[in-house]
Amino acid sequence: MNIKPLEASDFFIKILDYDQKISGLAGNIAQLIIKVDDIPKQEKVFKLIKQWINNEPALKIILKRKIFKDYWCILNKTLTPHISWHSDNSLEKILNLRLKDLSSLYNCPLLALDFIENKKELTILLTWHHILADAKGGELIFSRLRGNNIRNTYNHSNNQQFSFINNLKKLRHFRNVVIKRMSEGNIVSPVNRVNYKHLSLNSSYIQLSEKLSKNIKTYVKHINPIFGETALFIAISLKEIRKIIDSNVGNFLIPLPINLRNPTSIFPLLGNPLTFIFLLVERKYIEELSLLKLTKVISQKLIDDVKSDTITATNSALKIGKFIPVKLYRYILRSAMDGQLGSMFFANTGPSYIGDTPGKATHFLNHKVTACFHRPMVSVPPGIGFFYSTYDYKIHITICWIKEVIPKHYIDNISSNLIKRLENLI
Amino acid sequence: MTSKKDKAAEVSAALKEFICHELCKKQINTNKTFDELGIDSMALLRIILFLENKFNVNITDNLLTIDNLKDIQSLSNLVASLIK
Repeated sequence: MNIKPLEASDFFIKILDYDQKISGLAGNIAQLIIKVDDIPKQEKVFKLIKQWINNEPALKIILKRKIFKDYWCILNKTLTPHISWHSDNSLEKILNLRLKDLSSLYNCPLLALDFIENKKELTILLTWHHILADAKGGELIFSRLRGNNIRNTYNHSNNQQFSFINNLKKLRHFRNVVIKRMSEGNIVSPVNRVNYKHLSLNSSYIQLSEKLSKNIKTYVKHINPIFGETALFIAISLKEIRKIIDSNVGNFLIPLPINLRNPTSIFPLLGNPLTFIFLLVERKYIEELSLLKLTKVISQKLIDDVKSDTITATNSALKIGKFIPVKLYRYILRSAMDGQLGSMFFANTGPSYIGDTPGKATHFLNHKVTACFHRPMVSVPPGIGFFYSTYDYKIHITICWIKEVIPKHYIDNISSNLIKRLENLI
Repeated sequence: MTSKKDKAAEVSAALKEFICHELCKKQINTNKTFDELGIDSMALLRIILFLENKFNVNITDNLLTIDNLKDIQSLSNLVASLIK
């Protein structure tokens, strides 16, 4: 058995995981919701699963706990994950159930599969730990489950040389990026601190038409061909959530997950550590600028951040976590990401890769897959997350929120406004 | 004196090598668009930074247009036109 300690960037994920757990949340768990337009026979599904289990490298990875540290291990054989078939059960109930189950799994695959049968539709729910893979990695796991022959290789070698001094030097940039940005915001918690206990998440799903999605994608490329789409989604989400965040909060800091991934790596997280751009947007911009202008501002900020080496600096600074006491590191991260400024979880993973080609429609046992939604983790107050992706040329949006903290009618409002804004864009 | 066509070919070769070795880790079809190659926004920006460093050019924001960022050929032509 090959045991490796958690790598530095994974350590960052671990801190977030811990943070979420002590807030009553499930931890860094990711979920993928696949809708199939008919119900295949159970025997066929389980036959497919049996074949998949033997060859799925994700099923070789487990978490082990020692007194002070968690370790991920790669076994030399695959293990069977949690698999359940449900009839007439609510999706939200299973989603939340699985979140809680998977968050405390040791010595088991960090992956669970649920099949939820409802009338004439099958929902396939894939739940996995972020230590295992990021959102794209989850898509590739499903792609292999449905029989796609994607290369079963992965790369987790630590090619980058660790230099404590170099990382410390880069930490100065980190201070500029995150700590300085913290101080620019009002130190006001956007929501009253609640004694979070056994919180659960709710989700709302939006699938835009192919025509509208195509128009939006063409439109944003003219705004900025690199970051236009992501910037538009950030802008639109910010315009909505600022309404539910305390008006004393002057700035918004969005930890934007990015992945400098090797596109062929099936384990983006283990092989290509996740990093974050800490994007700061002033409230006055959100309120005063038009959606188009705000999108342009955000696109430019993203380009400037990448070009000025901010991402490398942030990434290096996150690696410092390996060298400083956990409590201090946690404090820095928590201060930067939790409650000091307005925030939200945000991700845009672009075309979903669950078939043979990214973004194209696919089938599951000869039945059409009609939708593919990601469910975001909710790591920052006020407890709302937006996840954008594209499947079958249709933009998919999932809004996820902490049920006990944000009333549903807020979300209904946000959803309908968001659709209106996108429809009125063209 | 190197012609513009030669410069574009030189940029294209360097770009192809960068994409094959640093991004995709496999051989690629150079006739495909960046979208078709699975090059996402971060990868595209890394490509631009690579070209700026390698050929000592400055690709200003106004040059970041859909036409210039379509595929290897269009980006190579742009960079070739910027090389002094």
